[in-house]
Amino acid sequence: MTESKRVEMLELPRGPVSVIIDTDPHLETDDHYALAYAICAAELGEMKIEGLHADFSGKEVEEGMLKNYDCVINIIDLLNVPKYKEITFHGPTRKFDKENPEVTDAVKNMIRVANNHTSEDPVYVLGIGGGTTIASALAAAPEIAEKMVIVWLGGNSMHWHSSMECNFWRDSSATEFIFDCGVPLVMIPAWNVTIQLKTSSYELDHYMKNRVPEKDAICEFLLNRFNRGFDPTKVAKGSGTIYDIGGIGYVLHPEWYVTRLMVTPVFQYHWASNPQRHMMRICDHINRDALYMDVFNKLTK
Amino acid sequence: MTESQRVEKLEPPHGKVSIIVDTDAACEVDDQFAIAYAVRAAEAGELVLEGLHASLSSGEDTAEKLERNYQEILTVLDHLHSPEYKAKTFRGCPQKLTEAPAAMSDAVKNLIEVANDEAREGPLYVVAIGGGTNIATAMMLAPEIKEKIVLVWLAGNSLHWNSTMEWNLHMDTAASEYIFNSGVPMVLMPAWNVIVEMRTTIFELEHYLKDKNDICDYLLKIVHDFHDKHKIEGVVWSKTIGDIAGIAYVLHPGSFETRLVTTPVFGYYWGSNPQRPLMRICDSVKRDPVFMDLFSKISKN
Repeated sequence: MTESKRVEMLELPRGPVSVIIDTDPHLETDDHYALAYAICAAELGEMKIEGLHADFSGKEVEEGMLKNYDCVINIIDLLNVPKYKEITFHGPTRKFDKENPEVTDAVKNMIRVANNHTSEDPVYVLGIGGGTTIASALAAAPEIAEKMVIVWLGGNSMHWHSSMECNFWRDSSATEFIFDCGVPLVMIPAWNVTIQLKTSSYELDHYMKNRVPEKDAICEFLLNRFNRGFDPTKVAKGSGTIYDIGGIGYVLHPEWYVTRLMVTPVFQYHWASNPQRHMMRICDHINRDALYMDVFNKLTK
Repeated sequence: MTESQRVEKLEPPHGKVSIIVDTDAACEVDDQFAIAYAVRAAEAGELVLEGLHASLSSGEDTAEKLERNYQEILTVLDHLHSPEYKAKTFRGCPQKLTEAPAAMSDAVKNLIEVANDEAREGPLYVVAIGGGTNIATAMMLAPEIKEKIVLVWLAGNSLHWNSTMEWNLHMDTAASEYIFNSGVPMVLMPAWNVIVEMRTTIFELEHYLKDKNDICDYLLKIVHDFHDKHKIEGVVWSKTIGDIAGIAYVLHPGSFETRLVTTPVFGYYWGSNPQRPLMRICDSVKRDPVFMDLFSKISKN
């Protein structure tokens, strides 16, 4: 790929665009919000979802992936939009192997969808989990790098003391591959960017209390998830970060994002610099109020 | 001052330190929170509050703005029912250093006296949550205080930001330039993308502050008034209460991610000269523990 083509693909998305979402909801709260937000946006015609891919999380790869898959199905059920089940796919049962990438259902779907797109009209892969499926698809079918843009929530800003963050480090060889392979990449760092997508029980209660009856089930679930965390016996109201909505909002409203082009760093525990590498886009800030307003509107109306 | 002496002063504060708060109290709503936080922390014996100094703010008549800021400090003290601190409240300089030569004011006099007080152990922390006029003036008139204070200044933006443009830093550019060239040990708390993320919402504030006491009522009221003045109906709104970070830094430096950097050259864009003295810069604040400490201190009766 030429640098000019890559930079062209890194121009801000002009919607409605096609997306694939790669997610690890089981051990998280924020993926659930992001999935519901994305599906509601798709139902309004603001984007087209061409795949919901279950990544793994936790220590057991296959078991974690299956739990993540069930979480996606749960969100689809709560929103009563069964057609999305047809595009929900199982991801990895093992970590990334560059020489022998696992061709899962999710990988097959990513390759198929990307091949229906072009560099002028790429599919946006919204990564709100690890990189296993993305790297496997790119290793199995390198030509798709010119047909998709990866928008990945993970790592930390370049001036941070390390790149240590769970999405980038869950399967670090996958991350290394994605940073090296030249696929157009929009990186949305955790520190000090998505970590700022803070809200509180009190704000969520206020905005999600009044909703249309069809959204009762999803809103109740999401509020409980936020307030109770992982332990349903415990109510821990307070403040929290819903990072992953940051990955969805970028393709809907890139004007809410402060971003810039930079030379892709070398992925390792400490970001390393090689000025001759290809360009990527990095996000420095997200307009939190605008994004939350869109989330609340879509989840309740 | 040798570089090692400067770096020693830039170690995170420990124990009960002495502070002066320099504030443009009436120009927004977060200074009032910071004043209340500092007074309550002093009353709890967690710091020694040696002065509340009113600084000017920009406008047609900076002297009139200075008076408003001074009166606002007194108003906050009334609501705190802590009149004893009125004796430590002083008016600063009525004119910017861009407009008039350095001239003594009550606040400058107090800053010099307290800084030079040999009975104090350790440096005096000057927590500046407004422009730099009073501090620069004091250092111009009594250069020896540079070795006796640490300036904690909420000003400017992160070094990777697109400009330094921020209210406090550009309030009095002659003062800012002087301070950045003075070699005074300085901890810079940048607005973007650090202090600007010290956000809360009406809902969180109501939860923690409603019907508690006089000062909480006042603080809630000024936020409500500010909101009513600026709100657009139905728009999600969070409010940055950034100035509390300056106070929190001397109380709980562990809640701050900071590092030493070479002091940049002040200009519209940060300029770099790697041979300049070191300063400390803040990259992130753990907002939850800071807000919790604030809420618990000011809501007590």
